[in-house]
Amino acid sequence: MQLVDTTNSFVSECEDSVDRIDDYIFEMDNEMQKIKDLLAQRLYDAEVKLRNCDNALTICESRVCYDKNGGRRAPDCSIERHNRMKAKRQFEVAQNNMRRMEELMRMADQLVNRFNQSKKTFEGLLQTRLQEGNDELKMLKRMVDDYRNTKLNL
Amino acid sequence: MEEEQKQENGGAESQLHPLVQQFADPVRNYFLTMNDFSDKWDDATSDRFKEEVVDHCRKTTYDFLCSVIALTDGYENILQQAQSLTKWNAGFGRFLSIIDIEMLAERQMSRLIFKRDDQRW
Repeated sequence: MQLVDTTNSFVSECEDSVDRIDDYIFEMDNEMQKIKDLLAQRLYDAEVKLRNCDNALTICESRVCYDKNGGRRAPDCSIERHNRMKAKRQFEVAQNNMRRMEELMRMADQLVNRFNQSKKTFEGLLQTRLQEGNDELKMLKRMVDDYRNTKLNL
Repeated sequence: MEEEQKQENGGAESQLHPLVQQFADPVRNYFLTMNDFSDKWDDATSDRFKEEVVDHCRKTTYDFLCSVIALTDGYENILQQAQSLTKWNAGFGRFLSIIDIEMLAERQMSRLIFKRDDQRW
């Protein structure tokens, strides 16, 4: 019966360990989601900033300016243009970071899916195959006991 | 010799993720017991048991532990890459243009004071 006991303790210890892996996946998923939310906020911020810079540039460009002689001249919007360029760059970087994050989340999903396939097989082993093995051992023991009792009775 | 091997095993185990390490003792103990019985048993029934249960168990456990290692290594690496996307210079190459430098300076200042990237409370 030592084999049956060893198998049972192996099954129970492994089942606990598998549960801990599920907790780990849950925690890692949460961490990834937190980072994604932060990057989404930054992308939104960059979008707002770009829109504000666009508005400032439009307002500047629509201004009417005159030179010393009273003639109309184009307004000087170099600061607004420069700010818009920076905001655009920030927006592009935030977009790229978000795209990369989504890619990483897809990779994590694939990793978990692959693990889940292997986990299913392992759980099948723990919950079905090893239990059947134990039943087989118990049956063998019963047969040996029966044989021994029959021999003693003779 | 045995001590050396123990040290080697210890070194390898300590490099593993705790989620993988937790399987080390139960798996080792189980298969040591199984091997012990396999050596003692010698008949057709035990051969079938060894083949259908023990060998199958060994292969499935091995595959499963490999997948746990792949999961933990892969996930730690992915998380590290994701965390690097939140750094102040995330998304930039090694060489920065003047615009990039100005933008990064503003970004750091915004994050320091406003806790976000666009100078809003």
